[in-house]
Amino acid sequence: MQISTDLGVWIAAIATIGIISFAFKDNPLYRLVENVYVGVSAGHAIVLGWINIRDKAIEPMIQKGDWSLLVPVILGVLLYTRYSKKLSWLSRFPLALLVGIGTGLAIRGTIGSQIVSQINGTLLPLNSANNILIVLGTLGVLTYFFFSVEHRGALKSVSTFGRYVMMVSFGAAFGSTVMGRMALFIGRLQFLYSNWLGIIK
Amino acid sequence: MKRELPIAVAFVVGVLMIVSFFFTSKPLSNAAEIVQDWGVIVSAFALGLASVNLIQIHAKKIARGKGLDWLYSGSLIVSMIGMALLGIIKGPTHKTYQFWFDALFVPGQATVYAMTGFFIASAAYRAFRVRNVDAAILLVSAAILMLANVPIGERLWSQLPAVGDWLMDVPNLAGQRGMLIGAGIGGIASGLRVLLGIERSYLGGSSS
Repeated sequence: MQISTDLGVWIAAIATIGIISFAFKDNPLYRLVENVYVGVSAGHAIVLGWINIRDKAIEPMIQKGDWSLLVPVILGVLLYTRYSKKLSWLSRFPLALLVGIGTGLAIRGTIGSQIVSQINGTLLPLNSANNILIVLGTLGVLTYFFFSVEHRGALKSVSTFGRYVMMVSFGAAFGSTVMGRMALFIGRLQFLYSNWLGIIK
Repeated sequence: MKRELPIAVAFVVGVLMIVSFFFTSKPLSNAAEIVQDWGVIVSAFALGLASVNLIQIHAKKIARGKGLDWLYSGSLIVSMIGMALLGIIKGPTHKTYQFWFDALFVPGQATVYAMTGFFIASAAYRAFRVRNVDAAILLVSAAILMLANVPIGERLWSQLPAVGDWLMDVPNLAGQRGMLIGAGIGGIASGLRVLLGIERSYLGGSSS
């Protein structure tokens, strides 16, 4: 057993123990570590934001003379008019730009990856039990989300089958998530026992 | 005008993004690329706004002086400003920045995510009580998948990993596909509502 003498490892170990301690009870160490973690994350986000402004706006303006980039810079500054009651409406323009870009990208991405590719992947030859189950399951789930007609008779049976298929998916998603989180937790314990305390190699 | 003009901006930009993807046109794709870069710059300013907001909230907490709030909020502000100044002045590749990043950010993120496993498990205790067929299917599916991914599962029944794989590849795939298509159609409808100005909550509550 050889305890680490690295300051970084000690800070990381205290932070890890602080966060894990919440599993037992809310306590001052957890609160302190939580706030420091949020602060460090926010600071890191500011740095990434600054790098974007520097690389995509300031440098091209100064080095290449691309003054059209003043438009997004001014729009960015307009976000801060939220603090003035008189001028706060101006902050809607940068917000509208971001919402427009986000919505446009989301729509085009959704059409490609969530609709066309998924339909394409479901058009399978019905030559095996698995393929039949995939096609029927997908149709069943879609029927469950079809609210234009009241679910009665055969439609109710198909929609109930779709609901059961979704339950299998939810269970599988839950199982995968828990296993992923447990792997992370084991990783943290390994860090504490190996890197920090040196009990295991 | 104070509401209609921003809606028009969102509509033009959104339509440009969609049209540039489906039509092969150099000017359109160039314009879309420029607007996307503008979006990155404006988002960076928005991060600054979020930080100002965070400082305001925690400065108020410190001023209120309730219990140990001054210590928690103070440590948040100090760590945020310290990390930001260090990164901006020295750069994110500097060894001091990397030290704090590796000592606090990396373990903090991994442990916070690891801890959610416990909360999911406690939520599962309530959700998984077998009260109907749906809950039973959910429980069996999750149990098979979790056991299939640990060594004890294979020891219990050698075919369990294969059953877990089948569960992921067939019924789970069908369910995910149905949900993706359904959610995709819903997402497009919501997106069109935003672009057409029917949904305008992002503009704020004031009617002026």
